[in-house]
Amino acid sequence: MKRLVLLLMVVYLGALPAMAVAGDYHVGATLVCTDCHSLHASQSHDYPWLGQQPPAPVGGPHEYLLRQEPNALCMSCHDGNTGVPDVVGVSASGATRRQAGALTLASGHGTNPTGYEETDGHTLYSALPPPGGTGTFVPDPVEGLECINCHAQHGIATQYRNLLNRGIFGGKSLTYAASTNDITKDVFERSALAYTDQDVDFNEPDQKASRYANWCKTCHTNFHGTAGGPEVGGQSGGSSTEPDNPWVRHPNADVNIGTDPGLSGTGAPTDSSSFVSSYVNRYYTRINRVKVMAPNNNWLPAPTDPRVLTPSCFSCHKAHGNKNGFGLIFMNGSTGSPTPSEEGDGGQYKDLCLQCHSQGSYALNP
Amino acid sequence: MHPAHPPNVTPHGRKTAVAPRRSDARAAEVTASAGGRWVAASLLGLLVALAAVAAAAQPTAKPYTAFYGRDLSVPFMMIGGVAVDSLHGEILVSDNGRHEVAAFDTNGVLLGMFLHEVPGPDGALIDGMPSQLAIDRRGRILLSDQRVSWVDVLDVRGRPVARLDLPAPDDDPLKSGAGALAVRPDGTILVATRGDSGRVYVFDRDYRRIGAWGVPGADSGQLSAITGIAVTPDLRTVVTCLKTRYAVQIFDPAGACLQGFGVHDHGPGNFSFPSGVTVTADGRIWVSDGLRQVVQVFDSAGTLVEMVGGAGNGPGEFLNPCALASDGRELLAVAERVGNRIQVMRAR
Repeated sequence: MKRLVLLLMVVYLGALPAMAVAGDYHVGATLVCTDCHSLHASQSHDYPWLGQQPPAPVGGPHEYLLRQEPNALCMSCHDGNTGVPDVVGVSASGATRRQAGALTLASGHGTNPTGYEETDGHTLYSALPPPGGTGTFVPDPVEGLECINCHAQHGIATQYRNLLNRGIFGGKSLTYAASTNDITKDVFERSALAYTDQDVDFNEPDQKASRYANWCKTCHTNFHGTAGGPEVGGQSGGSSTEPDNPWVRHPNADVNIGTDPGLSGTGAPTDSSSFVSSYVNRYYTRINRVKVMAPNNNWLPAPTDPRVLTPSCFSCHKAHGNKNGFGLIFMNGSTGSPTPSEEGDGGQYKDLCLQCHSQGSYALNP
Repeated sequence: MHPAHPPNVTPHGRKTAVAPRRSDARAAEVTASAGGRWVAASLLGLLVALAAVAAAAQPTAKPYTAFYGRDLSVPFMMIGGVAVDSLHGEILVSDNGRHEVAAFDTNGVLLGMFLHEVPGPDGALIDGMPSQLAIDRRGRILLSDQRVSWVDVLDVRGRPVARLDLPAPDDDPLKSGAGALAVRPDGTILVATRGDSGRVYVFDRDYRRIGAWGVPGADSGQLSAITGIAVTPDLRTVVTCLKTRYAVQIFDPAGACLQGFGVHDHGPGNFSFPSGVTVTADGRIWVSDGLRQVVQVFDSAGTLVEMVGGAGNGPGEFLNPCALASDGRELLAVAERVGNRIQVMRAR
């Protein structure tokens, strides 16, 4: 009997989750229910005369018996602590190159650190419709934008950063591989718990579509639609040359941007000499580069074939935001550029353009 | 002949007091005296018991005062850490939102503050993000900063005196670096790493590195995501971690794990987010929980004594307690990240 009890104890203790282990991102046994939920919402007061004071929720009762309202609960861990990813404002761990950047807080819900404005990306508690949105999603007018509008609070094992694949994101997978790449997945984290831009890269399982962009456009439609559409222009299958419909924005579907004959104007480039002034070759020469997608586990291919690289939303924007308007990454990357931060290494939007484009006076006199 | 009747019953059947005999009287006197003492002792015992119950029902820490920043117009922005300078009777608070360290008296009156700057990537000084604090035996300020990996040793005016450098791989501030700090009675300084790295570096009172211990990992006896470190009166080291099997682990001076308690589960004695630790002179271990909004108090053996607090912004309540400090006697300082204040409490 004693042995049985001992065995059961060993099994029980072995099953206890380690203290808030990240890496499995809220999935499975990482978190304990009572971290976020209160069994009885009536626990809204303490008991000073009994000596034992049960942990009481803040205010409330809150929906789903949460201890606090969702954003505050998320930020209890994910803001100001060094042991978990800090996603709001300045990182508590001092990180300056978070892949997703930083969220801000809407007025009345906290003070944003110097340099962070509400227009610099996703703003928690903001009730404004998403830029470019057509009504697919509008934040709750009272609660505003919440973390759980985009992320699954209980985690989804297969989704990158627990991004939702249900509700308005139904069917939109955004898969990831950790430590060892799998080019059939959308994102590659070079190591577990990787959050910096040096440790995250993006695959291109479908060279005519970006599942990442497809996910973002659930809310931010009207920005980068499909080839041939009014938002993007061009033709289905790809063409940006006159007199065909030129692109009006970077396409993220229906066309393999790298093989478009419009890149050099003389047909599909096949060797490095054709890329002298091409977009991709310019990108290749940058010291600091924005993120792009690659289908073959190589984000800096040989100059003979840089066509395989494709930009997507994350090439220009930080998913959460940064100190630049709309979370744009001002990455010039010319010779002598300083170490980039979440804002890039330049000072204005033209620096971002110069990652790939070469026209304009700024190109000569940045 | 009449039938015999009890001595206290008249022939008519009425009961009368029995006239005590002299020996009976003395016995009665003794009895009465003993009974009175018994009653008195019982009453006294009852009073003592009631007092004990009343005392036990009182919170272990009694709120004394609270302050919210330099003054109401300049509140804290993001409290990083707190330390009590028992030598000068001051409470120091690091505010990484304002990049400064401020000193207050125990009533919360601002005494002074200084900006903390650190070298940036290009060598030029930039605003730091001061976090954990401790006071060494010379009264100097030990300060870790989230932008750098080392610990700055500063005088009372914030001027650098020395630096405690950590060796590789903990010299990369993006992956590790100095975090929680503690000072032993002999002046030895303990520097715990931050992030997932789990090591404790030991410096002597002259700021020379003399050793290190700790194995990074999540198992019992290992360290990861250290949130607090403190030294008990008997020189054991208490470490709180976010990502280990036991939230609170106690090590001997050489770094051997002696015991661990508090797991990631519901219920008293367990934790959701152990955010800081301190020890008072009686050996009680105080551990804050940033999710449960409480400070749990354990005796020196690791047995839970009480939970203090609860969610709220009233006296004795907490909103995300993130750091603890003690003067080593009875004064406690609790930093609240969301409550944005320092509460000073008297440990009973």
